[in-house]
Order: sequence, then C-alpha cells, then structure tokens
Amino acid sequence: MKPAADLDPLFRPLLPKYLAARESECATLHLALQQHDFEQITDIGHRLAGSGSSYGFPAISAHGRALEVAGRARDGDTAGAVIGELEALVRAALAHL
Amino acid sequence: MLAVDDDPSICDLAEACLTADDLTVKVAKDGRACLDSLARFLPDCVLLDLNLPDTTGLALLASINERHPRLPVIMLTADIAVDTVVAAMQAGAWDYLPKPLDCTKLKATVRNAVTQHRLAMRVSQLEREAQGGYGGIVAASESMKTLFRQMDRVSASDVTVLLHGESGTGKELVARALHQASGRSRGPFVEINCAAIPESLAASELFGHERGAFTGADQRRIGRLEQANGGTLLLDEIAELDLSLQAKLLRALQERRFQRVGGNHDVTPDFRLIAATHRQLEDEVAGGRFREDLFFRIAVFELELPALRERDDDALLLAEHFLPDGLRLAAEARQVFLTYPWPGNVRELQNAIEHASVVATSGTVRAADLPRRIRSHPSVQPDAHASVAAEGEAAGTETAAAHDLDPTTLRTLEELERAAIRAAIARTDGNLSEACRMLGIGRTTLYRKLERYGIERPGAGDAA
Repeated sequence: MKPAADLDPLFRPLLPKYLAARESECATLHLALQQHDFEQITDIGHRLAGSGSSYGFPAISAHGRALEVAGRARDGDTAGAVIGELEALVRAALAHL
Repeated sequence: MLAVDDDPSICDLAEACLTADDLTVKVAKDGRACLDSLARFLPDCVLLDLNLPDTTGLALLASINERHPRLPVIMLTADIAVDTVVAAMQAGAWDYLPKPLDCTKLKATVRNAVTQHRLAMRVSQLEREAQGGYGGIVAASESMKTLFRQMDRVSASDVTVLLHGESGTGKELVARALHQASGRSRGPFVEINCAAIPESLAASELFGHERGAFTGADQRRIGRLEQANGGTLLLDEIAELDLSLQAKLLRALQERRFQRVGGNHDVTPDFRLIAATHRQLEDEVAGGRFREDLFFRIAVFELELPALRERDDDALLLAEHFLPDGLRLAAEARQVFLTYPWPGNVRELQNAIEHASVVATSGTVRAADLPRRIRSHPSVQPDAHASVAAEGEAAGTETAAAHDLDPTTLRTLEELERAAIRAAIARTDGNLSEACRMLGIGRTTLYRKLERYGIERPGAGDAA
C-alpha cells in the first residue's frame, strides 16, 4: 500500500516512524482485545482515524473509525477482524517504503 | 507555537510542517502539560486537539482564554460536525482545522494567528509606552526600557519571577505592573513583606491557621498564599524568611498544596508567584542563609531593577512627576536631581520632593530647599571632582589613586575611570557593593570595568 500521491513532501520523511509506531500499536491492540480492554481499542481507533489520512493512508483512517465503533459497541469479533486487516495494511505500507 | 495533542504522530506532522515555516513548535500531550507549559512561556499560538485524555479541548480552551485572552487558539478536530465547530468558536477559538491535517492550510492558519498575536502584543507595548511607562512607572531611560521589554516577555505568562533591586527601586510597583498585565489581573494582588512579620507568626501569616491551632487562635485565618488564589502573590524581601519556613514554602510551591497551621486537610490555591529581594540571593545561598532548591524554584525568570543612578535623567523626570501642582524646580535644583547618586533610589527622591515642597517659600523649589544630606553631598558641590580627589589624598591609604585623580593633570577618561575604581575599592576595603554606590554604577558594570582595566576583583584570589 502506497501513501496518497498528494501527500505533502514535508510529511514523507515521517512515514517510517509513523508506520513503525502503528505496527507496534497492532500488538497493543491484540493484547487489548485479549484483555477485553475496549476503552483502549476505542482510543487507539480514534487516534488512527485522525492520523491515517494525514499521513496519506485513508484506509488506516477508515479502519481506525471501524475500530472506534467496534470498541464502543464492545464488539470483540469485529474488532479482531479489523485489527487483522489493519496489521496487513501497515505491513504492506512498510514493504513499499 | 504550542501543539496540544495526545497523539504524537499529529504533533510530528505539525512540527514538520511549521518548522519548515521558521516556527518553533513545542508539544504538550494533555491539558495539564499544556497549562504547565503556558506557565513557563507564552507562545504566539496554540494548536489544540478537541479530544484529550485528561480534559476536553473545550474546557482547556476556556482555561487558556481566561488566563491569556489575547492568545489565539486553533482547534484541531476529526469531527467537523457543525455543532462541534460552533461550540468551539463560541467558546473563543480563533479558528479550527479539520483532520486530516493539510500542511498548506495549517501553515496559513497558524501564520495568520501568529501575526495577529504579535500585532496585539506590539499594540499593547506601544500603548504602555504612550502612557509614559509600564503600569504607572515613570521612566524614559534606556535601562528602564530594557526592563519594560523584559517585563513584556514575562507579563502574559504565569512564570515565577524574581525581582532584584536595591531598596526603593520600585520592586512592588513592578510586581503590580506584572500582575495588571497578566491574565490574572482580575484576581487579587496579595503582598507580604517577609522582613516585617515576626518569626513566630510567619507560618500562620503565609499558610493560615485553623481555629485552636495555638493559644489565641480563636478563629480560622486564611493565609496570604490562599488569599492570592486566582491572582498574584508577591513575597517581598524573601531572603529574610527563616530557613525552616523556606522549607515549608518550597514544599508548598512544589506540591502546589499545603495545610493551614493546625489543619489536617490540603488547600490548593492557584496563584502566580513573584518574589523580590534587595540581596544577592546567590551570596545568601553560598552563605547557607537561603536554600538553594528554593532559589532555583523562584529564580525562573530574573528581573534586575536598575538603581536610580543608572537611569540617565529619570531622576529629574520623577522629581517633576512627584512635584505638587503649582511648584516648579529652579535650575540649580534640577542640577542636584541629576548629579546626586540617590542611594535610597526613588523612595529617597520622593521624600526629598515632599521635604522641599514643605520648605519652599515661593512657587519654586531651590537646591537650598532640599534635605541637607542631599544638598551637602560632595557629588552636588560645584567642584565635586576636585573635592573627591582631595578627600582621597586625605585618606592616606590611596595616595596613588588620588594622584591619578588630580584635576590639575590632564588624563584620558579611561585613566580617570580606572583610578576612580581603584580609589573606591581601596576606600571601601574591597566592599564592592559600597564601591558601586560610591561610583554610582551597578555591580554588573563594575565587574565589566574591573575586567576591562585588569583590576583584580577583591577576594577573587581567595577562592582558588
């Protein structure tokens, strides 16, 4: 997955740091899901929704919003599926750097 | 500018974008860190996320507006629902930016906010200058203009200030001016002179006491720290505070809470602290009379108030300011105001004007109407220079220096200055404070001149 073509050139050097942080955040999300910590899932989802598109990854924002909704609904199945997809997205983005 | 967001990745973007625009970006991760940061420095703009872990962006916006009404706050929100934006603007936001962050929009919005804030600060500075001073302080000298510029930098923030200056230089006036120019001006200004309170009552005076705390405590008393809640507390002559009270004060300042004497629950007043002293606190620390940790706690931003003798022609300006209507100064009296060194500073000058106003028999104040101490001072005698040299010769111990000051020998001003400094140091047995007073210059100036003329600082060799 490549970042949006219109991403500001000033933001491009920040991508490795951003994606690496998201990768470790996926591990945090898996753990939160195991512990049924839906508050943390909601918070992380909210932050991803705000930051993904800013870094040229609208798909990360969309998954963030989905996580936020699933977290609020305490819907573990949906949250688990979204976390899996998010992890794959982040890895794909990292592979394109 | 200050970026407030609990998501470091958003702060990183703001920093990358705005640093490229020559702006310095500081970051706060929550509401508490934001307020702590604003207490230490005042940015030109705040970029504030609507969702924070310890408070809401709107509540924090209200706190910022209350303390810094002219500081533009740009709200950052992922939720661009109309009611959210309207609520932010109604709460006093300067503008709002939606996420995802657009670098071009961010730069433009922040640049406009910064420009507006700098203009507002400049206008307020010019207004103060047009009014002839800062908070009613009468001054036109360069040294006071420098002080005003430093006050501008610190007045709008909540930073703790340490005022240093000789007695009578107007430390209380400066503290009041800082309070008036701050976001706390609607709150109380509470002053306590630490030198004027008996040691036994000092704790109760500062921290208050509960009923029955000690014999005679027949009712609860609210201490000065608590009285200053929402405003500014001036601890004047803080160096005179007893060491045990210094420890209590330090704890209260660090923890932002304390208990009244005899009390068992915490009180948490919110005040801005200004401390003042005529002593060199570093010397007091070195002498074990002042706690070093308290010194660092209060000396966050130091302001040096110039002595009146270092304020060019301000003495005359002040004399005319204090002179009652209907009186004017004769030419020779004006000369006295300009040449006398005013060791008691503005307070001494004000008293001299009061004295002269009573003594003057016509509508003109003459030199003879001034207190004897002033009109008979060597500095205001017609041949002051010659008399200083003669006095030096009479002292015997400073023959060489006095010879250098011989008015019949033409010498360069530098030579005369070097000789005058050597004479003053010799005459005061190396007491630099006294030497400064005698020479009519400040301590910093004296140090600079000692270095320039290669004169060894008295006692400097002892430290090795």
